[in-house]
Amino acid sequence: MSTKWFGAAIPRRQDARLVRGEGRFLDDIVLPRMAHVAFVRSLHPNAALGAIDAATAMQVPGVLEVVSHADLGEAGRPFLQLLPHHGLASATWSALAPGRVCFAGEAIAAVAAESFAAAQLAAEAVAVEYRTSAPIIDLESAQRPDSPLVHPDIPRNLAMHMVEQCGDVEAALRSAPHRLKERFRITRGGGMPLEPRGVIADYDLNRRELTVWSSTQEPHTVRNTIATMLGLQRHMVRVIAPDTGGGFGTKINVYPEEILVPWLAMRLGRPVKWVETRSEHMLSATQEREQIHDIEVGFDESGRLLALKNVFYHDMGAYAPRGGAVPHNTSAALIGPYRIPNVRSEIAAVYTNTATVSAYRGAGQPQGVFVIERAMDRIAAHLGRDPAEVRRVNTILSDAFPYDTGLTNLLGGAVEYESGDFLGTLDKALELADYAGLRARQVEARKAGRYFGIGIANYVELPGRGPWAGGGVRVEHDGSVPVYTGAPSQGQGHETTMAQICADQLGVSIDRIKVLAGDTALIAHGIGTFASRFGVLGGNAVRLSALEVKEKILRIAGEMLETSVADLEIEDGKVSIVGVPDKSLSFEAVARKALRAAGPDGEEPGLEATRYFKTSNITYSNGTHIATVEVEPATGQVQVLKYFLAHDCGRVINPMIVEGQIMGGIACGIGNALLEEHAYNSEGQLQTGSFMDYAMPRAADMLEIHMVHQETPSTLNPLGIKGVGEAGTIPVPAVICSAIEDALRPLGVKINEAPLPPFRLWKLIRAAAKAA
Amino acid sequence: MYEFEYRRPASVPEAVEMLRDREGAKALAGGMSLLSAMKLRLASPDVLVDLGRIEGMSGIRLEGAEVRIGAMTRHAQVAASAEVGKAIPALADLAGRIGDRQVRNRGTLGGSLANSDPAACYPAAVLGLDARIETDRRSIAAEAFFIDLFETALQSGELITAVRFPVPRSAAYVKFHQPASRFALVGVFVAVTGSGEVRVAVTGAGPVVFRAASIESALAREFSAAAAGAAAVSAQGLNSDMHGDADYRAHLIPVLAARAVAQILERQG
Amino acid sequence: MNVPISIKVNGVERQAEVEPRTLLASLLRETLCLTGTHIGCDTAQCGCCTVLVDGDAVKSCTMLAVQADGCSVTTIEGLAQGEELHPVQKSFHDCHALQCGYCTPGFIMSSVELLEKYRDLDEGRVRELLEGNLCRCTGYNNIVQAVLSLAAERGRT
Ligand SMILES: Cc1cc2nc3c(=O)[nH]c(=O)nc-3n(C[C@H](O)[C@H](O)[C@H](O)COP(=O)(O)OP(=O)(O)OC[C@H]3O[C@@H](n4cnc5c(N)ncnc54)[C@H](O)[C@@H]3O)c2cc1C
Ligand code: FES
Ligand code: FES
Repeated sequence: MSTKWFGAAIPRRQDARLVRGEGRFLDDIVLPRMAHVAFVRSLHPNAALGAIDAATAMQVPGVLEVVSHADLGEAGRPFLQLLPHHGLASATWSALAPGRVCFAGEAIAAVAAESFAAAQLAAEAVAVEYRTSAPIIDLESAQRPDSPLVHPDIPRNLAMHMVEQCGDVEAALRSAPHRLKERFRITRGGGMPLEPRGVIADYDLNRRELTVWSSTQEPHTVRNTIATMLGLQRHMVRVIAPDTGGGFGTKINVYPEEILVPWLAMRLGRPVKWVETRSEHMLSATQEREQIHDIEVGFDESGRLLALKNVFYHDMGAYAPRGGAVPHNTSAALIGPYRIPNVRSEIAAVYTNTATVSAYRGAGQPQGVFVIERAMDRIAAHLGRDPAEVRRVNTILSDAFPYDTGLTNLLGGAVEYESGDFLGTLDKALELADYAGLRARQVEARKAGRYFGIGIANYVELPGRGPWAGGGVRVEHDGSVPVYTGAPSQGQGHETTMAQICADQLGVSIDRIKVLAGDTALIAHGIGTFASRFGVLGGNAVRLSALEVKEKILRIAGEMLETSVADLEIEDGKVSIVGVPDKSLSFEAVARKALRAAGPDGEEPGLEATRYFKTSNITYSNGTHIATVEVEPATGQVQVLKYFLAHDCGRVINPMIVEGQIMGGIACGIGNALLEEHAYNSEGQLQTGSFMDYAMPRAADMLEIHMVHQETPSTLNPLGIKGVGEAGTIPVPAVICSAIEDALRPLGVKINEAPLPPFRLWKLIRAAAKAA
Repeated sequence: MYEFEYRRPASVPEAVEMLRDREGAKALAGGMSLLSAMKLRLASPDVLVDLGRIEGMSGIRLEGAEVRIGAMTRHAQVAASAEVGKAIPALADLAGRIGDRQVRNRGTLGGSLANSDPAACYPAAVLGLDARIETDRRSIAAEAFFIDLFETALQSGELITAVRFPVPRSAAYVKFHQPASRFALVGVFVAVTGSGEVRVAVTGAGPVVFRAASIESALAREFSAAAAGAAAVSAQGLNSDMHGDADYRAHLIPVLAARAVAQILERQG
Repeated sequence: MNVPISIKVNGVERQAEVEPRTLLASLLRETLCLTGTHIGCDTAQCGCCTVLVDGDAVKSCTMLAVQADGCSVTTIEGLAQGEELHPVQKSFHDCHALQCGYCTPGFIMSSVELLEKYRDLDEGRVRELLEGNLCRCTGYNNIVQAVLSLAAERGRT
């Protein structure tokens, strides 16, 4: 197979309509007789609900219905647990709060009205009686016996306790020449897609069919959940994800609103629309990252890690729609590219009265990388060695693959790196950055009284998560080639990358291919777009389908040309006999034949295949990031000066898209390192209810990025791809904090937390000055 | 947003009339603060009196030793004005740092002052330059204008028509951004007035813009960045929030004042 | 009480009777079905809703439709000449300056004004001047590039 398209920087095909403003996002959809919904959201983080009085609200002109949990019947029961992790004390949300609320912002009642303004006005008029209790907000004290409970039936708020280990950590620590103990803390932020969430539902009473549009990363899961919760058969429910303005994990869960809006549409017998406001998004969409880690490492004179012990607390927020996936990922990401013979990782995941925590770009991995990379810097400082060298002596060598880390991933399999060249990316990044030159610059800067620092971080990403994904390919009678998949794109560019794969496999120009996605009517099963998985799994599924269609094309063409299949070749949408180029058949001709010739003995009609690619394991991408910063101790302001990286995500489908994913990821990471924080006060009220307090990275927070690609093919799939969606984000808090600590070394400031907005860094600097 | 009635006067007296007419009436200038508050349903005026079409409420004029700027002059106009750039470059610079380009295309001087947001930039210039605020009925000294958090000397229905900024010998504004909103976490305006008085006005740090007496007297003794930086500012009564506590703000004031002084000295060569 | 207004939108004179509280963004999206103007926040921070009013980039989510009475408004739908993309649209496509495309119309409108009003643009200045628009996908660098490449082209002609 020639690879004409795969690997090329093909401009994105979806851009043409998007730059014209012709994208069709959820809020752009208008149906006749559409009613609008506004929610009444809890003012308190922990309360039992008394009477809900909607009498005044019903008087507002245009109001159609006010509903609370009591009206929902079966549809109001808690959702099923999507990832029932072993030992998980599961708590899932319901379409509306069932008698009690667990965080400020939880939906208590819904108002449907002729206009959104009327619904909003009426929602304000709904009187809710609360019997409040003290909330538990602080992650560390949530487990104490005297702590308030988020869910009365879950003792000590403990959602999950899990221990992962290999070797004998205690013995290794005892005999290690050096030991260090540290505490690290990461606070929470949000995925913050610029398009908020939204749902539209339309129920056809005669056909008993429900159509739902949702701004989601997982239309099939939404469909399945709606069917279950509303007692419908799956094939009666169609879920469409229109153009989606970013997801980043925030849109992977099936949210309460995705059940409530369809339920209302069925109840009212007319279409119903809900579009989230940004303020609602801040309160009620999922968030992520809050963890506290207590680690102890043992190492030798050269800096080689002999043992790593880590006990960490993970904040689940109010509910666990996806079990313990995020903390489990943290644990799996702890090892990174390093050989660590003895590891013990203990997770205590607890519920708190805050918005639900679920995956956001990186999903637990940035925290794991932060911990191990901070540890590497501390080891280097302790031994007076260069931080790059300490990383080098610990790096897994190229001849060690497949490499079993001794830990398990969240699918229950081993965290086993299939292939890689970890020293390769380290060396390439050091060279790209001119590391020696940077160190020399630092000496100069320090002489001049400036606080210039260099940070390094390695990471191994866990993308391409199984178990499967599907993709279909069809050649139409006119020669056009629709490719359909279950996973919508939220900007990753599947419309382009899937077409590139299909074009090569099938032997047709990309211009004939149209990728359709995000509609459950296109393909029966799908898991969705998350965990950097779809390029890997969906791409390989499309490959399988394209190959199957190609085989059939060859069979039929062989009959038509009265030649054996072995003598045929396909190029640019034409089948010809090898060496006889003028004797050829177009795809159109073969496709028409495939429809006509179908008979009792012949082939089944059409040129079409839908295959699923299955995998039992996860692929592993890796890379090294290097950043330089300058810190202003007087204000705590950090300026990132230069950014370099070398990364390896296996075979690259489209370098332009990969670079775009990485740059976008780095911006998210810079947010996590320096700006973004969702803060709750001790009363459980969100302090960051809008972009006026939640600091998003802007153009001036980003800087030129220098990158090199290394391609070590994955051995787990025939295309050799590994996935890249989160790679840009994962190491950034680690690398920036590494650089800040390096910059402030003359002041003896230790960086054990992220993010570090100016105020927080200034406090650390001041505390170090006081201690000195 | 709640419902309201919309009025569009053609003159200042007509606008004042409309505002007097109805208890819940409010003037609408650029709308950047007022409409934002109404959208979040934090404000709900019954009537909006749109100042946007009143002739003569915007514009910039050099009048002797003063720059007179109409209340409806947009931040972008002040930032781009050659007159302001020449007479009081620090003021053009300040206007060019308010919010973002889109905000500067709508927001007005009058709206900013009437709003008296504790984190707004213009109040620092008005107090630092000892400007006078002209209204439909009187002229108010900067010192007397800003009273408290979102509170000014304006009577109900009183309209700002223009502001007169005396041209200083030199001035500079240094703004430290609140990382999310991009308003001033602390902003310090240092001016050496025509008569040689040193004035240091601070915004963002307290409930309302104020003068930093300790820095002013330090600078009166010795006009240097070091003198400004070494002055102590008390944290008493300053704002605390997640982006900075009172100590941090107090600490930033002399740091930023020193930078402003350095800018002034650099400009003077 | 509804107010009659008359606005030139993308070159076409449009009349409407609007409630005073109607935002310019709602007029464009709901009444005129120009859904390329997007809403990403409720505090005038994200810039997804940026349009040009008499040539000035403004956030249409924080402007009343009645305030635009008598004005000329350009939205993302008004840029291309038939099949021919506006140079800024083309530059965004060429530079891979968009991913999900949600922020894109606002960024393009904002960039049109930026290129119109500012000379002597360098990278740092463009980054500063794009402060009123948020993008969560691209990391901004390709957007900055899309603007700079047009500025450079202009410099050559
Ligand atoms: C995203 C964003 C960022 C911003 N960043 C900054 C910043 O960095 N620095 C900064 O200083 N500001 C900032 N602002 C505020 C901005 O400058 C506003 O434009 C300004 O504060 C209000 O001016 P306006 O013309 O929009 O007034 P409006 O919002 O129309 O009115 C504000 C108030 O003033 C009253 N009013 C208006 N005009 C008059 C008048 N002539 N006489 C009497 N009363 C009047 C109104 O009734 C209302 O109460 C920001 C705003 C936004 C939305
Ligand atoms: S919608 Fe965010 S600025 Fe207008
Ligand atoms: S392209 Fe998605 S927000 Fe900018």
